[in-house]
Amino acid sequence: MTRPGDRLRAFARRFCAADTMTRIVDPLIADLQHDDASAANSGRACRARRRLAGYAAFWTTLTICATRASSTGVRRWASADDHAIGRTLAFSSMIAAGLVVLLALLPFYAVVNTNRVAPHEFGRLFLVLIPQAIPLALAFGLPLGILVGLRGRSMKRRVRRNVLAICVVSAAVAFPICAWVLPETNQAFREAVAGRGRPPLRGANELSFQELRSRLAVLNAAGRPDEMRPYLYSYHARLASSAAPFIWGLFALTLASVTRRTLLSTAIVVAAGVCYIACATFIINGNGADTFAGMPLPYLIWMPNGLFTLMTFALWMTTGRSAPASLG
Amino acid sequence: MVDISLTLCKIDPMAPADGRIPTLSAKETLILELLVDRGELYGLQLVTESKRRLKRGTVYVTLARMEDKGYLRSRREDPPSDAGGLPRRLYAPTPLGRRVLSAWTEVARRLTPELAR
Repeated sequence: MTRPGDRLRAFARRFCAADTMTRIVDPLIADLQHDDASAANSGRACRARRRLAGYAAFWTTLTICATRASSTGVRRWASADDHAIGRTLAFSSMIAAGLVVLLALLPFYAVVNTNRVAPHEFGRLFLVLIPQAIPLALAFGLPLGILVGLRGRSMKRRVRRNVLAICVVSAAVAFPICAWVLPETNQAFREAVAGRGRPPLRGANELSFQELRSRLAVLNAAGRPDEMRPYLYSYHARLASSAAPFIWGLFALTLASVTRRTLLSTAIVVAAGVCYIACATFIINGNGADTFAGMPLPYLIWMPNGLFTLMTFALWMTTGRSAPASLG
Repeated sequence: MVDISLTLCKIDPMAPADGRIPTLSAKETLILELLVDRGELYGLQLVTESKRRLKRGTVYVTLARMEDKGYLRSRREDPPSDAGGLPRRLYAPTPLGRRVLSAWTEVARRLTPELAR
């Protein structure tokens, strides 16, 4: 005969360590079963209530155990291999956080100096400026963090695999920000600056990917390609900057595998970053043409990412090191 | 000088293995108070005796942590003769647990008027 809690115990045994089972789960189930047996003569409603309370306690306890186990696992993961991953995460986060503050402060001060926003709106204004800074901060912070974090650490396969996972997660974080968060916070910023009255119309950077695609389709169908440029730019620039943390991170990882000279590799990444910004500035403030040297705008926007990918492959090929497929 | 050395001799064996000062959270204090007061209790009995100040979903984790700290010891009760479920676990305070509780209570008693002022 199955007693109450037997199934829960079998379920917990699949996930919990033997020590957790003996010291936490088993006493809970034992009390639950004893409580249920002692409530046998108390009426069905009372018994059901006590049983439910026992089940709720089981799930609460299991959640606490899972949280504790995962936090311990994360700590072990970060401190493995002479803290290589922990250092990478810490340095990347610090550099990215610093860049976020810097990239948010620049437009913030520009607006504050115009006296168009009331002082009580400053906090909200700064907050809505943060999402636009995150993708770029990740794209710069991650490679620098990788180079500094892995300094002097042996590049084991596990370290490379974990750093690669961090790059994927960073890109996965950047994508929803570029796709959905950025348009909303951009619009909130514009409304805060415009003040009361009619809210300003949404521009290209205030539209989601879906809205941008449909706007481009409408303009294309109407035969107005000259008006497509800002939408095309916003669409591809946001997509490219979502992918940048992964591509740049991979480049830095390869660079760290190739050379132990952190200063040299950091200088390479910084120089590449400056070129990246210069390229973006050129596209934004350039001649406004849809092509440059015969290259269409989307290709131009994706060019830095493409160059980084090529450089990564070139590094692998020249040093004869393992290709990305063998990282796993 | 003699007095100091004697005091050190008395204090040294009481220090925990990792050298940290023993601490007690509010829940741990309550559990130790109940166990010192009532003797051996089951987890669910502790919840009932505390008049629901302890929660059924967290008490077992707290008890396991207190065992790790050395404040409690536990034993499984004899298996039920009628095969009616798992044997329950009984908890009791250790000498260290009793000492920490009394020291903690004393500190709290001395500090409370200071804080209330």
